[in-house]
Amino acid sequence: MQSGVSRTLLIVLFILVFCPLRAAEAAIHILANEAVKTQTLSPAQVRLIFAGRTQFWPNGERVKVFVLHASNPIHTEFCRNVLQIYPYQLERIWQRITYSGQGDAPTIVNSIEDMVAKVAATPGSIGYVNTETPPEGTYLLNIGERE
Amino acid sequence: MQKHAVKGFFASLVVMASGVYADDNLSWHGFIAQGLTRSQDSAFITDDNAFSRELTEIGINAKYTVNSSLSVAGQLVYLDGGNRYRQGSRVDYLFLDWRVAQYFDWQMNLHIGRYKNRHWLYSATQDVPQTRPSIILPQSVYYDGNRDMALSSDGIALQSIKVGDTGTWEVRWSLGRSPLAKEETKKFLSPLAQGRVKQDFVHQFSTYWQPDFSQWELGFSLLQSDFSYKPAEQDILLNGSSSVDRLTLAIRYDSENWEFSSELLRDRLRYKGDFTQGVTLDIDKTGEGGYAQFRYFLSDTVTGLVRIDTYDVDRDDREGTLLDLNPLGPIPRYYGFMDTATVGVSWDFAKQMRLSGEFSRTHGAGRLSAVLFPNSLIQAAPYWNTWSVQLMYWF
Repeated sequence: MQSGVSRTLLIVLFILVFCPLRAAEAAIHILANEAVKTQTLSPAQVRLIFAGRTQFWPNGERVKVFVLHASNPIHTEFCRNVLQIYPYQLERIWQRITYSGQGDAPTIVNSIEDMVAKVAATPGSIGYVNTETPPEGTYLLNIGERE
Repeated sequence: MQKHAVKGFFASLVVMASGVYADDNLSWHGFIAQGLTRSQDSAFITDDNAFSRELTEIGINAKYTVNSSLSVAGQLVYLDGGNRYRQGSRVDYLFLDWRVAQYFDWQMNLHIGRYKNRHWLYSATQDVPQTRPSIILPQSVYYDGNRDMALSSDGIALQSIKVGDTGTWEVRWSLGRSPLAKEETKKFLSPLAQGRVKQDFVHQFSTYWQPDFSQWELGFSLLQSDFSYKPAEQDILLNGSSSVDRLTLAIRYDSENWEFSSELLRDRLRYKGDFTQGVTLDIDKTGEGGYAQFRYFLSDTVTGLVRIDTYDVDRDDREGTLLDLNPLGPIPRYYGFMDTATVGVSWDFAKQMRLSGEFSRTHGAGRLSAVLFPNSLIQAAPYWNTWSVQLMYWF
């Protein structure tokens, strides 16, 4: 009986440690302003940018991040499938950098249309969309291996 | 009267700042939190068992980005936490942030000035009510009597974040010291002490690791600090010094609907001093403690919390029996430990607004004050309770 409990606990521990969140389903794409120029980012680099930890592009331009509200299903899907973290974890990181003088949280927009308009109009900006056709002034940034 | 005026001034400042337009280089943030609180059968927060409004936290912070390598950040707060810490305003942090290295996979920042200590799980924002898991943090690690010293120091700090094949690594190092108010000397030592305690230095190092796309976070931190005592002309203590060595281990796991976190610590404390009555003090003891905390997200807006927290002042005397023989006078045995169970709930009822409530039941009083001088102990019964409700707004 005791060994059965121990085995179950070991299996649960193994799953917790070695099984990350669901793999990316690629329904959400990273949208960047045309001035950004970077073509590919690793998943970890994307996470650093959306967590507010990378604040400048390699060319010295300020990174400006736009996200949807935490309750928006597209934001939830983006967090889970692209960043592979939960929305509350992202919010916790934003609060930490904002209230310790380390950076600024992303700007929250009301809709995908608003997101597209803001990214197109703001040099150095980045966001995400659930379509495969980038509007004028923007492009879809690839998520690949580390540069 | 003066207290209300200061509180009102800070609240007005924060409300005015919330309307300030933030441009690309300047950003403002702040918070106002007011609550009702009570410590029952203990003077931890209140002296008379009655509910009190001494649960005020008002803060405003700003960051100005000079260029892609340099920014300046600072925070001014007003606090009223009853007996937990010094009531009044203070500059929590004010530092120059130099981005020494900045690549996509690796960043290093140097902070010069009053830097924030970021070496424990919640220490980066332990002064910001809406970022804490509970109104009162577990006292084993986040001992309120040391709040200002633990939060920030004057000196330099380095922090680095690296994303590699093994995951994300955060390494932090700092060296500085914290100014101590005269009233804090009396709190740490004795109400009869006329001189000043000075922190000579505090040296800290910590590393946190998050395996690539895993929900685990693991870390440890080391702290070393020395203090010395400068006696007054007429004083009970002729000379004195103390040192602290601390090791902390931290773990956190985030699931979709719950979060588990725990920190364990070991503190080695050494005190030496000569008193006017011919008493010489030479104490070397190691304390141990830690907490385990479980938070469950009942919905998008409601979170429940359960936590156990424990601290033993001397790992060789966990029941406090040797306190009968304390060289400066006997101390009740239950000051040799402190075990606390906490339950709490918080509700985000509107955008940027939260209502939190919690209850704690505690056995022992070993983490209320330094267990050394009988006349500086914070009074408590062997078992005591804490109740707190707090309303928070932030921007």
